[in-house]
Amino acid sequence: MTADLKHVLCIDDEEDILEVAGMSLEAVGGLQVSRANNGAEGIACAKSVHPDMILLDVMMPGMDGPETLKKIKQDDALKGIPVVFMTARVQPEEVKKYLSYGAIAVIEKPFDPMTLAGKVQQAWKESHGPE
Amino acid sequence: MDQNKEKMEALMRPLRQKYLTQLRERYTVLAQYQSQGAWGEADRKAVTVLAHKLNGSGETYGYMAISLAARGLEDELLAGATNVEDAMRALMDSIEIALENDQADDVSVDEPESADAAEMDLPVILLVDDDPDIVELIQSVFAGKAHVRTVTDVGAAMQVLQSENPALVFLDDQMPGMTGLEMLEALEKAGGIEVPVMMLTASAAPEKVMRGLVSGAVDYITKPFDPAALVDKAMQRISRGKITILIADDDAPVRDILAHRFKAVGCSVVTASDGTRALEIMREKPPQLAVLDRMMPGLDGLVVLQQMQEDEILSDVPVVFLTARHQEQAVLEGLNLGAADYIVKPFNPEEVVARCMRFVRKRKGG
Repeated sequence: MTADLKHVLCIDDEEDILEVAGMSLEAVGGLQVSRANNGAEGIACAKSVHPDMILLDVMMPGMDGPETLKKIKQDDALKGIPVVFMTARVQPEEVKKYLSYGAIAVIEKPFDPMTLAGKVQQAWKESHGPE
Repeated sequence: MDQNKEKMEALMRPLRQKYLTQLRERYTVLAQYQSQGAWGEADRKAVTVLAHKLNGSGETYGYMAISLAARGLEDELLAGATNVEDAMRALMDSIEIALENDQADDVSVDEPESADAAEMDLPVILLVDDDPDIVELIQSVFAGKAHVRTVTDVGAAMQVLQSENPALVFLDDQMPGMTGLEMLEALEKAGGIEVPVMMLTASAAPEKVMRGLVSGAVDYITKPFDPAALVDKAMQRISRGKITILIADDDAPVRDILAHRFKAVGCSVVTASDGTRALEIMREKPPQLAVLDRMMPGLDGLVVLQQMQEDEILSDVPVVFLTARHQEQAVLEGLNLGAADYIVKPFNPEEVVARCMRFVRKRKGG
């Protein structure tokens, strides 16, 4: 049986996106949300709160999304946490590339605050396969 | 889901204000790059990042034109284009409109038509077509009947749709940049467009007709067309668009099905998931007819009808009840109270629309 998704960590350098994504997951999805403004902070936060899933922006200054994901996958304590990328670049070849890094799904930006939680839940269910 | 939507909208309001403040700052940065002229590699990168951020955030905050324009600029920069002046201008225009609308909202929330059209008391038709012959023809056949606002590309059309409130859109497909069908598909993906759109294009390819209709176009007219028939169709559609139907039901699929059917016959639709919200909406802007679920959380249909009858304006609005079969007896109370009709679930949506439109016509004296 698929475990319930309860806690999501959002990592995005844009405060406006971080706020609206967090609010949407909390208000519409009823999820607990932790927030981080960059990759390094995100990894530290993940180690501390151990979320069920990480929602990760691709383009960030300093450590970008793919690099952050690489570090997550190298960390024994974090590598089992499914990661979903959020990006405005969703051409098929780009999506393929992000999935090859180990992300379980890619969510397109700009997103609709009303449907974001549904997409995250969908990615969660798909990553856990059929019951 | 509607309760979630209302909750989310309330939460979004202060965030949107913050976003607008940030937009002002970003506009200033873009203006500086624009006036700077020649860009070095670092400048190009900075503008690309800015465009990327605006692309990824605009639509989330309700500014689809900003996302579209920013995507255009980002794509051009990533493709190595050296002259991105037009794309820059389009992005800055879309931000200006968002900021201007924000200021206008402070004064008046509901500005129905452009100033010119309001003066002339004519409906506004947005014509999106780059063919000067078509523009001239449409302008002349609608003279005295509608104010035709013309733009020649999709970016400008998006801006007019955001800043003005046309009663109808004529949309060509083949235009420079994004095509009309691509625009319609983008709008549909973002939740659809309230304004009725008639495709007006030279291609009658079934695949294109299908794409247009699936993406929400209410009609697909091929060129050359009969101008008199076009005027008839358009004016009929505009007149129907002035009919607003309120649908109040706590069952979202019921609301969606009925909304779709009423829109298909050219009506505007407002929806509510409970009786309290239904009354709020109607007091703000009375509809021409209300479809009320008999049993709803909070105020049920019967109480809503009672409150409508105590209201000087709403007492004239015909009410049609929706009810489950075992509630038929209860609905008789509604009929005794003055409801126009009742329909038992499960219903045939087309029949609901036909029965409702009869009351709308009767009320209009038609």
